[in-house]
Amino acid sequence: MTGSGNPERNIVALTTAGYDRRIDVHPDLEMVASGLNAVLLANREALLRFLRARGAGEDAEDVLQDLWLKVERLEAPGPIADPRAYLFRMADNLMHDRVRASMRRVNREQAWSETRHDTDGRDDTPSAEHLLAARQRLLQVERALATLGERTQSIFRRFRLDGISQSRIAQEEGISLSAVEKHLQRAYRVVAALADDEANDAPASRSHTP
Amino acid sequence: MIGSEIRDQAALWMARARDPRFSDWDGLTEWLEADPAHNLAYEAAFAGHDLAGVLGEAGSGPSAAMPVSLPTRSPRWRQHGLLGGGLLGTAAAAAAIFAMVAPYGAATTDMVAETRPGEHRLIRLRDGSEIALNGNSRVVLDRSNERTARLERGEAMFTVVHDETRPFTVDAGGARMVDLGTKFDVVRTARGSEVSVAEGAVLYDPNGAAVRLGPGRLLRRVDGSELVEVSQTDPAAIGAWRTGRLVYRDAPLWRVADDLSRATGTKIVVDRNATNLPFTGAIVVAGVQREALARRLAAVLDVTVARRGEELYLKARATR
Repeated sequence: MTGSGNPERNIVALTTAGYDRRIDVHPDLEMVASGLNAVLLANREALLRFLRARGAGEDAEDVLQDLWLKVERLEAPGPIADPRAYLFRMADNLMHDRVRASMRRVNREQAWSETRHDTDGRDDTPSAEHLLAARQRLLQVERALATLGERTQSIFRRFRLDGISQSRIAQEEGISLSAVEKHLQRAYRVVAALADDEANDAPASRSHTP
Repeated sequence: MIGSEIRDQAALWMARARDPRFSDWDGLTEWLEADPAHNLAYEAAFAGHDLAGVLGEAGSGPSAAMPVSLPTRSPRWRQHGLLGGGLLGTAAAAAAIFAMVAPYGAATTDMVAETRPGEHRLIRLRDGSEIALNGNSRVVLDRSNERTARLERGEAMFTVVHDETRPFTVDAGGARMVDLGTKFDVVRTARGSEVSVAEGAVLYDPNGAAVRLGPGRLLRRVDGSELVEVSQTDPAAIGAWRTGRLVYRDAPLWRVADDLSRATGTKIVVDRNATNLPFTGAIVVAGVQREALARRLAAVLDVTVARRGEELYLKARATR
């Protein structure tokens, strides 16, 4: 770690008058693991367990390696309030990205074998079609959420779109944290079911396109 | 087929885990380990989380009329802004008020540069970037990443050598900005933070509102407030303090006094009734003797100046 106790002891000599005298700052950088990597090492076993449970299975070590590299490449992550939670969140997202990537690959391969429009394997569906699909998805989500109470809907929007924390929503709404969780649980149940339907429908509907 | 109860549990875990303050990852691990179906249901809920993102996209109906890049705000919040500073006058002004991120915890402080009142310093970083520190100011650089600076007190002008892959980040009282190829000035005032851009651009609150500030843009944030105000200023006047010149347009007197205290080393206090008197003009402080300062301020600022020990005390003139 870089902390050497009193930060005042690291005061750098600087010019005190005018701008003609310039002193370059050369801090003696210590080549040690950054704070976040140190936290990663300390929580290695717990992270591996989480990755395995999140579906990484035997690849867990590889995914952890990916995570290590990602942490190393982090640009100016800034102060992180809870580094341990931060790493778990990164691991969670990493697994989610893997699932999404593999699903995209499957869809693309199916589309390729069925339509043969796309000569270089990339998805070049016309943007108008994308737009239409996006609009339809939006309508579906809105329709699905409309089955919920108004308060549940607005709490979900506040949380999902505005990024407001649950404790703050609880404060604003004057309800308990667990009540906020309940509202969000209902909303997540609905959008999860919708995502499930979409995942199951997508390849089937594609097979009808000429 | 995954049971309904598992889907309920997965939805609850998803709701919890997407909260920025969630920390019970061990609890989530245990639940996931209990049954492989749990992870499948969790992934489905995660896909639902992604899917719900369309609600925030442009053109998504009357419920989300705000542009994508701006977080939508509740009417209550907007009203707060109206009452808060009377900053909103027109629709255009409304667009300049953005949501703020919560200030975050303390950094691992490594290099500290500090100035006394009336003292200027120039810090030159290894990448060629420069930080000019005004009087009575304190800036902290992260030893492990020099391109992260925190202005704890006072004022600093940043001349940043832009590097696309290594953005330069400045934090001032919880207000956070990233350079996009830039010369910009940051002030911690008695009431909050200000950032003004002389050249290039700065991205304010990169992870939240992501407000892009071009040349001449001035952003103000009151400490602890959820709102910021963006206005126009003269780009040529930004950082003029480095040459002993202070330039203002409609600046409140408290702010002028703040700057003068920093620049001259003489503490200047403003009477309560005069704090918001507007001032437009330029004050040259370089080389001014303490004795001459009081006389000059009285003339320039159109106030009465009294000595109170080491301090100068500014009061509104009784008759104008």
